[in-house]
Amino acid sequence: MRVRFGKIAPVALTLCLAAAACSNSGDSGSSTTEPSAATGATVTTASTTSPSTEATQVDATTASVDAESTPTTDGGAASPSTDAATTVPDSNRNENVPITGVPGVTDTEIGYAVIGTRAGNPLGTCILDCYLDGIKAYFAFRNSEGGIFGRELKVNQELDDELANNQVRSLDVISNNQSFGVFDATLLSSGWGDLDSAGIPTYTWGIQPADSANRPHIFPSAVLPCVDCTQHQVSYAVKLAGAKHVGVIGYGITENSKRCVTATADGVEKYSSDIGADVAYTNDNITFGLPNGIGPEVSAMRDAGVDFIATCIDLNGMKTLGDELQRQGMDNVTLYHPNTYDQQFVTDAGALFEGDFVGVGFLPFEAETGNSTLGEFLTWMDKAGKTPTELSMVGWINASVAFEGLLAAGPQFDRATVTDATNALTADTAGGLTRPINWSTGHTPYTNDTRPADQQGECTTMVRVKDGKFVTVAPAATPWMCWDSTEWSEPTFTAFK
Amino acid sequence: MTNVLDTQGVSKKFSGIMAVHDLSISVDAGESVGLIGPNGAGKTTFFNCVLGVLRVNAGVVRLAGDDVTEMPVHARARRGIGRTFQRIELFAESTVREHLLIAERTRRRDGGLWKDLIGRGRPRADEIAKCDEVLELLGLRDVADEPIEHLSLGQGRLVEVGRALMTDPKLLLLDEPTSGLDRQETADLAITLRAVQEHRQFAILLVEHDVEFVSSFTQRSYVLDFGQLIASGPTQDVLRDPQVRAAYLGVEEISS
Amino acid sequence: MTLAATLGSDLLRALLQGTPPGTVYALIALGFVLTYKTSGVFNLAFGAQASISAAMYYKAHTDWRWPILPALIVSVFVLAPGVGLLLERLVFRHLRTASSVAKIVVTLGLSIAVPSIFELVFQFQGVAGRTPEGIVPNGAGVYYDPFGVYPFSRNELMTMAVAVTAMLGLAALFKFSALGLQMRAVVESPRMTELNGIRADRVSALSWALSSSFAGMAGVLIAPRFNTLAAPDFFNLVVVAIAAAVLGKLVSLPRALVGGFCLGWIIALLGTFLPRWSRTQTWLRPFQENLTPSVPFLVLFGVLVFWPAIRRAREASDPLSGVDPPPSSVGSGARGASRPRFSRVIGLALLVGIGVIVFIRADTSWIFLVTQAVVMSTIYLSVTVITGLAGQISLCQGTFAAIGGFTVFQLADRHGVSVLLAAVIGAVIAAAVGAVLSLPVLRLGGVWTAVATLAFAYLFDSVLVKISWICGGGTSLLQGTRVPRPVVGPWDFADDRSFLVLTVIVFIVVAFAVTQIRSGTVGRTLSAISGSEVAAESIGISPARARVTAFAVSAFIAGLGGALLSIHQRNVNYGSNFSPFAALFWLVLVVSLGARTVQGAAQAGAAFSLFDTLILRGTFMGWILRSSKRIPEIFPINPKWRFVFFGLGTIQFARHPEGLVEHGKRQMRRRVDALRKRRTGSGGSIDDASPVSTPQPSSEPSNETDTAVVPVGETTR
Repeated sequence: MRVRFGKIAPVALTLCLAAAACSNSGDSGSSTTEPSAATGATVTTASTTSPSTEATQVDATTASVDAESTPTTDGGAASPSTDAATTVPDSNRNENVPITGVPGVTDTEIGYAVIGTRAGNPLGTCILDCYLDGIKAYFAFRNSEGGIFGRELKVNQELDDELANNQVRSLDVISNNQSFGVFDATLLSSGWGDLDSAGIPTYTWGIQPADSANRPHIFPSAVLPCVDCTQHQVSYAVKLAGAKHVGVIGYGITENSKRCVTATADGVEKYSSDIGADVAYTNDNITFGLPNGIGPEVSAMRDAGVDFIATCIDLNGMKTLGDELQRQGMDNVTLYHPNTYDQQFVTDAGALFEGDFVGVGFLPFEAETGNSTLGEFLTWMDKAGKTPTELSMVGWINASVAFEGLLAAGPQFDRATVTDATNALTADTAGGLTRPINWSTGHTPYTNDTRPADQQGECTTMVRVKDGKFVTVAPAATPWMCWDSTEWSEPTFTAFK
Repeated sequence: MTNVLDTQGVSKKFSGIMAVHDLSISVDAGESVGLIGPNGAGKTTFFNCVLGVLRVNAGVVRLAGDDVTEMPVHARARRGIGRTFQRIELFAESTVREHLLIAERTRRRDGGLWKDLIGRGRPRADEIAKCDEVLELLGLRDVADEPIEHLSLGQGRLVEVGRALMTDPKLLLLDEPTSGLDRQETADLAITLRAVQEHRQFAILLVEHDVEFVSSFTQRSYVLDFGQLIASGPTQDVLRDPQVRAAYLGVEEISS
Repeated sequence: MTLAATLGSDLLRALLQGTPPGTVYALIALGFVLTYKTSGVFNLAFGAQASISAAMYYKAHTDWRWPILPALIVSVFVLAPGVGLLLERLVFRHLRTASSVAKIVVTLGLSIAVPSIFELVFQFQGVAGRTPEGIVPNGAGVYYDPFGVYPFSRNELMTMAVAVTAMLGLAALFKFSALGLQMRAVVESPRMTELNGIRADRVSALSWALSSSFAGMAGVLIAPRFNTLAAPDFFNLVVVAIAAAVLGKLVSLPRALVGGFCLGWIIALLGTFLPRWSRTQTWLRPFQENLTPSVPFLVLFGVLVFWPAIRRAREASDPLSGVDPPPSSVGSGARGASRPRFSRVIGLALLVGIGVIVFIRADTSWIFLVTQAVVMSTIYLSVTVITGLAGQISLCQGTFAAIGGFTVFQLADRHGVSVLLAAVIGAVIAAAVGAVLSLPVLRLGGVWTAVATLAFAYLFDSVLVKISWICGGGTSLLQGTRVPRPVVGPWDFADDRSFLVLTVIVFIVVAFAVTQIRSGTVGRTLSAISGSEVAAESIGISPARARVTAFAVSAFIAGLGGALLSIHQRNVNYGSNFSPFAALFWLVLVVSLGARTVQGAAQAGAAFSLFDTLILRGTFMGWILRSSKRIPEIFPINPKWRFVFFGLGTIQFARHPEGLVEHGKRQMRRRVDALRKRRTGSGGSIDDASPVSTPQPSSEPSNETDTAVVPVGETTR
């Protein structure tokens, strides 16, 4: 039993922030290098089309290759002719091999535990329940196709970690050993180390990069191996906004949030001449929670002529910032939000965030479905009578990775083979919902200084607030923006599957 | 024979009002001296200046010839000032013997964290013996293991005396020791105190309202009024002094 | 010239920008002073009271869509005074003569319990981004710019107006009205007041209703500044506001107002100029990074430590504080030794039995919980030392524990030092910090020690935690503050059972040390000081020295325990384990279960770790019913109940400082005694001497004779 109060929220939050900010940089998988590897690993949804004669699918690789030069609509990804056969034949998928001694696996079902924060969530947001919605929707979707290996996917334990008891609940799951794998969406991920040591495949809401680092059994919803890599995304937003002077601000409460500010500012500086804007103001030392408001900082930015502000602060902080900008007559300043992909929040704020950019860690709901499972997601959420939220999408993505890992491991599976098979996926997009993730390197963190050669590119997506609603920045059919090096270029618009 | 206590021109002001003004007194080893005066005369203030509870604005306090004016209470206590309190101050939830034991341990100054940790912090036989000796002297032997909550007021006063005795005081300051006691208890206290003083040879400075008690107990006295010394000398003489009587009349009856 | 002009306008702008937050601090500081003046209580639950009114207002106005006026009436003029009256009647009326330290612990408990009760009753949960609205229509959207430099919103102007009006009104109340005088008189001497024919109870009830309404008003006015309504934010604000209130020595309303504004201005000025100057003057950068977030706590700490007047203010303004001894150590344990020894043997046997069962049968999860209970018990022994033995309230035990944890992380992770050695080094560092901290803090005494340690905890939280050589650095960036388990010779403590054994051994060693200290010179000395500080000094004891020792020992134990906790969880987990508010709950827990004994610490540790699983989740009920399937529907009980339960448990502390369990045992013993006496027929051997402490002439009949809260000298006063 621990306490709910205190700086739990700040710490968790800033971690979220850093995570969200950095989710824009990072792994572009092997998208530009080895098509076959990507093809081999990428599992697309089983849409109803018959097996195509074309052996190669339009996956992440081909899509980005197709749409190489300028922003274009990627015909390939959008085309219905591209097919969705899986690398594992359907016959194999339905093959039921008797398995004994594997926890949570019976002849008829594969059981998963879901741990998440419900009680004591200082943000007051829907975490565990929304997360469960997404997982259950995905399971219902797959089970409607006959499940996998003759078994149904099932959530057989739901555990509320009450914010601070993640480690205890994780140990509960380890102890009772009734579940094959774990889904974990928590603000304080204290139990991941134990789940990893126990060898349990664990799919998580990836807001705590530090807790999944170097843990091969932890599969976060967004792989964030780099905490402070410079990135294109914010600079691209600056360019689209036509801004000239950029301010970058973040909380001083943790190192992560400070690094986020540095990385963002460095990125803008780096592409300064390409985007025609410079960094006019940085402050990585804002007091968390803004108890004193943010007046002096906004004044300083006004004096510096700032017309675009990129932040590493939470959504509550964005509200305070927006209000203060309005007060000081800076309504026309465009903001980049790392962590505000919440339609309700933006709607509640009225016109405050009009024209702002919001980074998103997965295929935005506003994008066209294409070959991704976004359509299925919306369909199955609707069937269950649930509203799509960020957390339900995270649940769906986590469940997709779990499913793909099972599929890759084959009908004679156990925890180890599923983990290994998942880690062999080199361009996993969770059914076209995330940028391609290379799980073979995705668990190893690195910094800007130690950035590996194959991690120079990035694929991201973001939305912009228009008339109070989110719209994708890239064309809705190809909502992802990819860069294949750290040099400046226009992004390649693409879609994954 | 040197003075146990010697004050020179001690003055204490409280927000402009002179509570004690230019007071010089001395107490010789082994003698009993009274400090009397009407309410508000500055007795308690002076007492506190001697003890170190209050810092003097001017003047010098000497203990056995050493200047202690700048020393804190506990340092003066170690140099030989013991005291009792007008309102009894005992350690809650401790037994009578425990009161004396802690005083003895403090006097020896051989306790400490490390000794506690290796189990040598518990009371030793010689310490207990020494305490019991004093308890015997004060007639508290029977209640040695009683928690102080079970004692009568008179016994409580004696525990204070015993606790002070454990520090081997050269001077014992008694702050209205008879307050709250009935006639019988007062008489008993006087007898016990005299016996103990004879046995242990320490000086007593007594602040007291009960003139009978003062005159029976002390050889000489100082009389204060409005912070100033108005008389001093042998107690019997002082009490007959018209100025003293004037100061007392209207405030308190003189029962002698 | 232009430079001066810019500087001047910047200065003006900064002052204006600091005014809205300054108003907030001023408002809370006023309320705090009001409570202190009218009730004599250093009310840390002020924030909790404010937060429930704000939540009520939000619920009524935003959720139920009531118009502003009825929502305001319900939250500020019905709920708030109701809560105040309830608190007065049920809690504080009985504590009027309790020590100020006891009262502060009670308010601490209430600040945890009250919001939880509200949330449970009204099913309330703050949601991110749902900003509560102010009490004027469209308060956040309309701006007025009086100076043409910086506009204020309607809400802010309203708050300023209320703050200034309240200050004037309250000052007038105290100065001119009979009621105001009576309120102050009741605080200073309730008994004297009774003699003068004033009904102390009624006046005190009125005081609480008034100050609680003020808290409610403050809460509703402040709420629009938050983007989420959460009780801890209000608590943090109160800590900040205490700094302002302290500037007015806790009694001056105008000074509290000015103090609040000054805080807001200082922070805005620093926010304006420090970043600007530090761009050219690099030596300023560390100041910019650390000063801004920590200003209120620095001010609070600095004022307490370096402003001697505050110490005198304590004596002058809190006449009861001098005469109420803090809880003293258990000297009574020796009495009636036969029965306790018997029950102790049974208890020990039971404990060993449970231990063996846990060790053999328990699964990973139970081993974890039991280990955590043992480690927490170790940490709680630090409270036993500082609060139980030395009678001091320290609110920075979590910080000491964090120092232990971070030291292990740093040394083991970065320098490859053996983990156990690192734990001991961590404890030593914590002890050193504790000793140094105690030097200025301990001269303060009583409530001020509590507040200064709280300020230190917040200081650590806002500044030191982010410094890389304390808890950051490259590794923590990439993989958090992971801590390895030790390997000693053939024993690999990565095994949970081995580690449990290790923690049990550490606990036994520390517990043994604590009992040795308690029965040794240091314990007796501390016991004497808490029994009567003046008497202790009169026999040559130096209270300062004894308390430095106590602080150092306590910090050592906390540091060791914190190191063990981090090793146990394989991570420091600062946010969930050691943050100031989390550590406040420790104190609440230990104090309500028993701050004086090793047993109390062990029970608190068990409660911390196991209460949730055993009781709230219904596991225990499942055992009784012999099936986990038959656990009744009411389980799992909402975990908020534990805050209610233990928070309210502190109320017992003021009346029975020995803690709930010990108190229960004594009650039982007394009943057994009475039974025996009746059976033997005679009066027994208890002496018939009239007790030194005659019954108090107070209004409360419920005072037990065994508590000895009453100083022995009280009768003759």
